Amino acid sequence: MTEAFSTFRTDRIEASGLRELGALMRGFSRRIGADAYLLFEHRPQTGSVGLIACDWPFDMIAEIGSEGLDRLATAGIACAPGEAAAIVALDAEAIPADISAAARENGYSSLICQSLPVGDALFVAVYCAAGDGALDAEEAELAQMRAIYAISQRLKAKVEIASPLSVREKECLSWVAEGKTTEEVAMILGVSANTINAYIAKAIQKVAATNRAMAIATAIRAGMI
Amino acid sequence: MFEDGAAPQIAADRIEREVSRAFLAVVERGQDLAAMMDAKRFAIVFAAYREGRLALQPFLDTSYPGLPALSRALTAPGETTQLQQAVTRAQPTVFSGNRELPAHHGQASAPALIGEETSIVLPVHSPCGRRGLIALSGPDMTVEEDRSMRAHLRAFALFRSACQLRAPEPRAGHGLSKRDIECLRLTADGLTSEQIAERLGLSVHTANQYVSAAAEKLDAVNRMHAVAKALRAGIIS
Repeated sequence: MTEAFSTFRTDRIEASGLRELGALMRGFSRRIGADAYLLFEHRPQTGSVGLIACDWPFDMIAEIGSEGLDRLATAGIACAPGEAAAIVALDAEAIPADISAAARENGYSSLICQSLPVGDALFVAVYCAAGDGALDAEEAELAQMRAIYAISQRLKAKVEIASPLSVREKECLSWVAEGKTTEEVAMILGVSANTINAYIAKAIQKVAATNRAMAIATAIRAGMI
Repeated sequence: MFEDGAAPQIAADRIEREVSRAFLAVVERGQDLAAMMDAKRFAIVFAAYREGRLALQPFLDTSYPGLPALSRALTAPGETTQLQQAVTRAQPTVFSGNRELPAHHGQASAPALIGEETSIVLPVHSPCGRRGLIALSGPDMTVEEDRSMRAHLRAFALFRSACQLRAPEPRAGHGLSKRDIECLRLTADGLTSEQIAERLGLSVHTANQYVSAAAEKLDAVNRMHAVAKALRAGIIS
């Protein structure tokens, strides 16, 4: 990978693992009938991206940038594992215009985008093809599961994105989700309002939310409260 | 939602029947998945952090509405360390008394969960962020590589359906308008009233009114309460 990529390369996988995953992705790409592949880690809560392996032309990836990859990953075209791989035309409405323009400039006409959940982390694979009907959806579905296994085996120590909340933090968040104000929670738990605010601030930070409403939504979705 | 009178009872009965039909459809798919691996039974359990630990909760089993051996074995207190590890990795874990079983894809192996049976435990995720395990178990299970990978793919799809059972589609009758729901969804995504107004091309005052209207219709005291209620009722996801 070129120097500029290192600015948003993932820190989750050792260099040797990155090379192995690159080789695997090349193999998947060939079997799927794709002309280019891209594999990156995606942290949707912060919108940050960590590149793992890629053989897209440098100009194209530079133009799209990590912010563009975040938009691509959240554009609603990523297939979950076990979902038939959708081959998306690059001029489809869901694909951000600048990305589709950059890809078409490089001769690509369609892509498959897959989400790869591994433990607490989320990765995204994108395969691009030039010709119509070149991509093999069935091969892509198998490659998706293989990629998940392969990443999982090469992850550094487990990193808990949704780090478990402490008992107190969960208690506070649960009361806020019941519509209680800081003062009311302070009264219920018999501590000061400042303490409650500190617990909640910590909980917001732990679930990578920007405010209370988002923290509650994230915690409920993850089954924490 | 329903204040009083006879109508709510009828409505509740109807909902319950619809729910159990949906559950049975998922059970049928679970059995198909088990059959694919020559397994006798399947179980779906949800994983969630409780008291700072990863806890497994039984959800659905071969003999729904009961929760027999497999679900109990998966969620028994004290027996869960290896299962908790199974949730945090992506590869299947094979539980078996038979040491001759080949390990592939970095599959982990562990002692049998129930009796003489072999069980394969597949970690699964839903796009809405829920996690869990789907276990397939039987005395004559095969854990041949290609088949177990295909079964894992189907397990993901099955888990998605199971999650939808937990968060049913918004039922008619909650009285929220499309705009109310949209504003609530954006609030849950962490947007402020100003940001919601900008996103939807409304005035801040109007955006606030939608969120307040949603809270009122949900019988919530503030927007945090409204977000929690709407999520739990499956009105937003």
